[in-house]
Amino acid sequence: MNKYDKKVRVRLRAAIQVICFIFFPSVFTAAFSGVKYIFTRIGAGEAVGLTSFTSVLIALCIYTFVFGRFFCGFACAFGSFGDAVHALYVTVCKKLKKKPVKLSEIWAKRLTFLKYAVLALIVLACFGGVYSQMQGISPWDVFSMLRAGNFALGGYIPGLAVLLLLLIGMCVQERFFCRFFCPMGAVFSLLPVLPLFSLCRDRENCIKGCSGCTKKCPSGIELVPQDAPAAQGNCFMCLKCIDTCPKGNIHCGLPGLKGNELWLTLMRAAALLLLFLWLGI
Amino acid sequence: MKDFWIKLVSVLIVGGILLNYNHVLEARQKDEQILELTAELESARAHIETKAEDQQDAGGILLMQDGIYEGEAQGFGGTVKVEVSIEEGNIKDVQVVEAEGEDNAYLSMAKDLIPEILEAQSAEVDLVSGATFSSTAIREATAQALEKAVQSNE
Repeated sequence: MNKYDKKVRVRLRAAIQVICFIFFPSVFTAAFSGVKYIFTRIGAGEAVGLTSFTSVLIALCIYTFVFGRFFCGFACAFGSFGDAVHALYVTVCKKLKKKPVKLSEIWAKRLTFLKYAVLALIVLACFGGVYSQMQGISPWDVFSMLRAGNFALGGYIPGLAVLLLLLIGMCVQERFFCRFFCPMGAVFSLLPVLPLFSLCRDRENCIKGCSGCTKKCPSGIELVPQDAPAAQGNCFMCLKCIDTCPKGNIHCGLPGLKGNELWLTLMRAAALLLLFLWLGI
Repeated sequence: MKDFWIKLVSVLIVGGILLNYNHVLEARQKDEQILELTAELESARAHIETKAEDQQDAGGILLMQDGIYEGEAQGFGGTVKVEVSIEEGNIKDVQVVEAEGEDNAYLSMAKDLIPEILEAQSAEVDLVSGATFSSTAIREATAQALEKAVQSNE
């Protein structure tokens, strides 16, 4: 595996994340507003229209169906924010020559199901028509306000507190929020994903007891063998495992491709960009 | 692969339920509309004369001066400016002329408020849930513009 290539890939991902953070910071909340809108309308017995929220939701779901959760790994502003916090924490620890604290994988596995509870709670609140009374709790609102330079956080103290707690979590576990709490991620993980870009490994070539890919994976995924390419709903498409594998065993479902080729990443990013522009986000 | 098919079928079922739900509601709404229109027609026939008088009354208390008025309010990420056109004392149109700090998806949801304002002929309408900041800004900016319209009539 070429070290230089790996560096370029890491930089390309960071660049796409920064660009999306600057120019498309509200896509994740808009898409989830689509979910909330649908259940609010049904709860009120009103028709579900094709609004800007529902269009963003449907478009992202179709994109994920084809390309996997590339949006999560490369374009979500909140995910990128979490990546930055985690990277900063790890760098600071290295500078101070301290071992970074890490959440144990046993706990991480248990907490993974929390996001479905978060989703269910919000959906029920919307359906029951009481969601508007919960305003001020959402850490996303606070994050989006701060990002937009809106510091009128008067009614958002609980949300600010939640965001600060999440910051601690983001330090000790990569993709802490995405993996354990993100209600939009819960929706994505329930979607079917075509076995084109989803990753799998040639198990028979693995070094015994290696599990390097699972350790590197922010979702702790144990990839399945090639002949059973189950699309992993929890994969954020960060593509780190491909470069980590000492044997180069990991590849995507497209014949002859690894899945982390620069042109392939650029193509997926371009498709997402076109989708954003078409939606007028 | 089994996982994929289960998920695909579930998603299709959810989509189907949503479409069917919309379809049922649409049919119901049409029935209601027919009933409403028939009732309206009846009452209109019965009160043609009284209605004419009412209209004259309403015409007598013109509150707002015709013209185009600007109003502004704080939105999500900056100032939202609207232009309200008043014609014959009525709110004819509300245009958002500046909203640079707002996200497009949210702003276009918030603009759902405008037809409501036109119908109510007032800025006192319910906010758009999910786009609270932007719709509050449109509502308050419109209220400010309407105030100017009333003042210039005095």
